[in-house]
Amino acid sequence: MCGICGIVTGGPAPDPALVEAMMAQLAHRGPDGSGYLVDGEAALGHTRLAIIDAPGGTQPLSNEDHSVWVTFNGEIFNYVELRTALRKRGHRFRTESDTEVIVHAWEEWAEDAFNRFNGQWAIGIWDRRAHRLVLSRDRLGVRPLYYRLAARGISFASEVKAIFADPQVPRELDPVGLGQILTFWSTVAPRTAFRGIEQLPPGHVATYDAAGFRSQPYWRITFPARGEEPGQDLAENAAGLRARLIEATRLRFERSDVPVGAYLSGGLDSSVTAAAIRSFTTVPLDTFSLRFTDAEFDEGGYQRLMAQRLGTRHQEIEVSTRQIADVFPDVVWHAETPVLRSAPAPLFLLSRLVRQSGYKVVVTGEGADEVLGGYDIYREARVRAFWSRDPGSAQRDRAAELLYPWLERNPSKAPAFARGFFGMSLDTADPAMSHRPRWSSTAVLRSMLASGLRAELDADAAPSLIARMPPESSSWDPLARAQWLEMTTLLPGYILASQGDRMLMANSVEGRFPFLDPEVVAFASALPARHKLFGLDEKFLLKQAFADLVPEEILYRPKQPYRAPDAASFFAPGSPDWIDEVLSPSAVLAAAVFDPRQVAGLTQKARERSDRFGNTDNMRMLAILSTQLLHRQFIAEPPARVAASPPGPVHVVNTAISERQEA
Amino acid sequence: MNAEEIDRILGERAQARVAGEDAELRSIHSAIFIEDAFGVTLSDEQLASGLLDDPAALRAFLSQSNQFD
Repeated sequence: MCGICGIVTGGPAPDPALVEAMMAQLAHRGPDGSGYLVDGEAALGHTRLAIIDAPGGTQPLSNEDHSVWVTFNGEIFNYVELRTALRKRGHRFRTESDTEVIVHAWEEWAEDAFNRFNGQWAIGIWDRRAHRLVLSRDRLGVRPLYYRLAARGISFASEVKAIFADPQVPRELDPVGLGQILTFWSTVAPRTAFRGIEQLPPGHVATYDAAGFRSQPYWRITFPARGEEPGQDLAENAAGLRARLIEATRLRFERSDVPVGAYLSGGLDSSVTAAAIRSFTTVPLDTFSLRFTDAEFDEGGYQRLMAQRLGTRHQEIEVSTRQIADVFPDVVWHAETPVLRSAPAPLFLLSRLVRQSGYKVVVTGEGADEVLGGYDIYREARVRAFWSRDPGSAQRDRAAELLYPWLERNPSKAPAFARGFFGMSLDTADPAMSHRPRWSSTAVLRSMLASGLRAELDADAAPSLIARMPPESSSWDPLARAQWLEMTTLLPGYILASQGDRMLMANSVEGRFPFLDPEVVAFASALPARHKLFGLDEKFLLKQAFADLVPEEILYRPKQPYRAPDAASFFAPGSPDWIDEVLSPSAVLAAAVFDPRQVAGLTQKARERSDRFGNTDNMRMLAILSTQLLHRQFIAEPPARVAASPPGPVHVVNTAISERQEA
Repeated sequence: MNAEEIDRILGERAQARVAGEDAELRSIHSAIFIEDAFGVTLSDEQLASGLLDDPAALRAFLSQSNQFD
């Protein structure tokens, strides 16, 4: 896992000092060394977290005749098999790294190479033969890849802060991006929170050359038509899922030259991945868990149960509200986007524990909810669809009471509210019916925006997203449409980014996600919807498949989504100074994002009773705090956190000098 | 949907857990699955009649409903 960056000017040679400045911004992603290539109008930079082939995997790295160079963040888990195939086709390898497979695969298969990769990646290839830059991102967006198109030329990087290392790059928040966040909880690629900075959408490959910039998908999320799923047998499907998931976990556990640990959240998904590891190896396994001092959020009992069952060496960190407030500026610095939850902060602290324990790699359960039907939003949609079939029924509106039995303030305790909330927008012809309540309740936050900024927003962010749904999605099961929406918005934009890559890489830790293995995803997508969400029983097939490896207490516990204390974390007595600073009238006016009167009113309310805030006020407060921090750290006072230089040793390749020496 | 497919899905239902002490909620829980899996809509009378707890009657109902699809 690493940081990548690059510049193609289309003219003069890039300034090596600028490339080094970009790399310095990515030091946390790759503290084990760095390197860059300067070749005519192009430069590729790299900071390295050495995991496979430490001596041979230095980047940028080239093919045999140095006509193709790569800078690469991620892992190609099937590199062993690809290397064998490429050797048979005459390619000669100098290293044992997965990186080298990329340049030979590009030579051999061009854009078709990416569909052959099983992995998680952000890649920049400089093809000297065509004077062409190629950018590629993995199928579901595990690894980030940003770029900025200038009047002439392009710069790209793993994180926006590296692009901002160029003082010529304007730094502004993007009103449309903010509008998306205040609807979907994240921007939708290629949009970002910053004007003029774009991200390559997951599953895409882009090229930049004399003809300009083009981007196209090499892979798409797809599902069979309802009723045409190829496998209908429960036992066969359970066996198929189990075999694929264990193989996906094995690849992610064994393809590493450094030890691999595992997260245990106390829920089903990470219990399955940790149990999967135990199913093929008896080597000592270190597991890591997050606990909360606030019992409402704590899952320590389940974590310890699973750790004892697997016989792991278990470590945990107990997080307090004060710690969340203390690290939140770091969280926003790394996330590079407003967030509507504090949940990334404890994950930042957890990855720090992992790193301090000597680990660089962890296997986690992310992705299971998206691909196997685990989210409450899917259950909500089922309930709402049930309701919509006979809205006049005397019994159907009680279905809302089946949601959230774990929550203290669940709908059964406030049935009138539940009926109002879940009864909104019951239009079964709406392809986004599943997500309307969430989007509507989040879009309420837009009313806090300053009037000037509000005028620049799309009136409704949803239509442009819905227009991207594949035409054939009308034949999919409603669950599949909800999965598509979730896998297009929240998964890459928040789960894998603000809660995933960014919080892990902040402490130089790589996450690996077996549930996002392409074989697992393809298999899960082709399942009948009932094998994912059986009535209201989420991840039904996963429970069937791993019933013998996961204790019943975890297998059948009510699903508890990962949450952390939100606004209440920031308004306890003795809170850190940064909170008053970013909420001050002058800071709010300077950022010009929010209406100062509303900020002052909400802040006062938070000081009086943030511990009793409901969902909307929690989101409001987190949106304000994180956006104000984002403005302060990236726009008002950049770039305060720059390392002086890239991590050493710095490996430099300058083709002009090399060619002169060879001549 | 043929008889074999109906039987297969009803067989899967035996693997699912429907908990809770409220009989009406348990019935609604089952109905959500039946309606989603078979594409039928149950009336309030059917929800209250115990149809969902009577495997033979439910199978007969689903067979008849699917004949008209």
